[in-house]
Amino acid sequence: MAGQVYNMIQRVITQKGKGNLVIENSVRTKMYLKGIAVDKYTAASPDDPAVILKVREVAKEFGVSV
Amino acid sequence: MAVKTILVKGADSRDMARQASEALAGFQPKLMLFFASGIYSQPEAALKEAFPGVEIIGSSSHSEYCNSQFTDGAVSIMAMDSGSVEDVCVRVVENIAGGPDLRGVLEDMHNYFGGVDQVLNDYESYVGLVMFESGAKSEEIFMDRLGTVTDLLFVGGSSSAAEGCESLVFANGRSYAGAAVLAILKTVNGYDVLKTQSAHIFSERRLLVTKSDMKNRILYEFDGRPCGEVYAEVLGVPLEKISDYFVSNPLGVVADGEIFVRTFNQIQDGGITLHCGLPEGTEINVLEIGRIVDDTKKALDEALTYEPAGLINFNCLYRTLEIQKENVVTPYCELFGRCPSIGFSTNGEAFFGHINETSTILVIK
Repeated sequence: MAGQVYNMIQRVITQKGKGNLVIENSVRTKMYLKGIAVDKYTAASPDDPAVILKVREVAKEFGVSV
Repeated sequence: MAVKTILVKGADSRDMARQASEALAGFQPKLMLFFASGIYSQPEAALKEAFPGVEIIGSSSHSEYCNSQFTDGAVSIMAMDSGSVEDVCVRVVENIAGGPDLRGVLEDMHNYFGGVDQVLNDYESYVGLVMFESGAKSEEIFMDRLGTVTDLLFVGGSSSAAEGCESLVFANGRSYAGAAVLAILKTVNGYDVLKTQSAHIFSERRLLVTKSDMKNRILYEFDGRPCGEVYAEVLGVPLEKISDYFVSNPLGVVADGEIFVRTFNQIQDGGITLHCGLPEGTEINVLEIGRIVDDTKKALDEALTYEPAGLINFNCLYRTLEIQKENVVTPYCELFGRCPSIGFSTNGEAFFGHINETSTILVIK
């Protein structure tokens, strides 16, 4: 499997941003500062369990489901 | 006039407040922001007495900026009337080192303006100010939590102090240590936020933080190896010389091209202490410091295509020391003389997260 991290990140950004581009960009920045290198992950990125766990924790902090 | 700025030197706090009252006679501030040298005892109480009914917030400062002036031993004040700030909500969060849950206080602040939807639907009008008492050394965790519980943009900095003086933040006529002052401003004509760090990417090689102590701001490993060893390798210098490069070559988290600087403190306990903790999993670049005056001018010229009502400059103390060393204080300050502005030399800046060696600027339109 591949692309799970990328898809989860996109879901966090979309759900948290609610269509507001400014907020979506700020969510991206906040994820970088939380230790998730957003631009590193693509639809072809391997499913790293540690990163998946981290994105899940961040999603929970933001109150969104992934 | 919607914003007025003054720089006051008084014999004591009461004299300082009296001078401020005279300078602002006839002006009806909604909000006053001040940065006070620690030589003044209880400046917040003196200002509160001189300006009853006005919301007053501030921070202690190592050195102060006002318009095109730079000094120390002074109080720099910005007064904003209802022509620039329609309303303001101020709250103080104490014991920030204890990792407070910020949901309640932010909900309270949002509700002051009619709820979170009201605030976010008018994102262009509302902006947050945050000032930390820097002794708590908890800004990065606080900013992370703040950014988690609100989508509102907060900008600000951490208190500093003149030698031998106390670091404090001020609100409600009181002083606080180990606390953060939060203010949400409902601006009349909107705002902009600028961030300029005069730091550029030195090496495109991205380093993964694999071991760190975020809370104590200690960095141990990049890519599974001792961080000092990897840092020396990137710079191409001997390991025993790396501390010579700590000021000129800080670290940066690069988020979609935007640099968030983290500066080194010292080699300690098998790692390197920083002025801002880095969570494991973060990817960073080694940076090099550029020319502060040129880079700041470029940032201001690009952003200020209009006549702003006022600028608030949270300028890192490192940058103040650097412009003093390079003897460019006057040209730097002239950049801020274009409109009413105040600032101080901060012990860290706030913009999404806690950052170092940066100038974060709130522009009131």
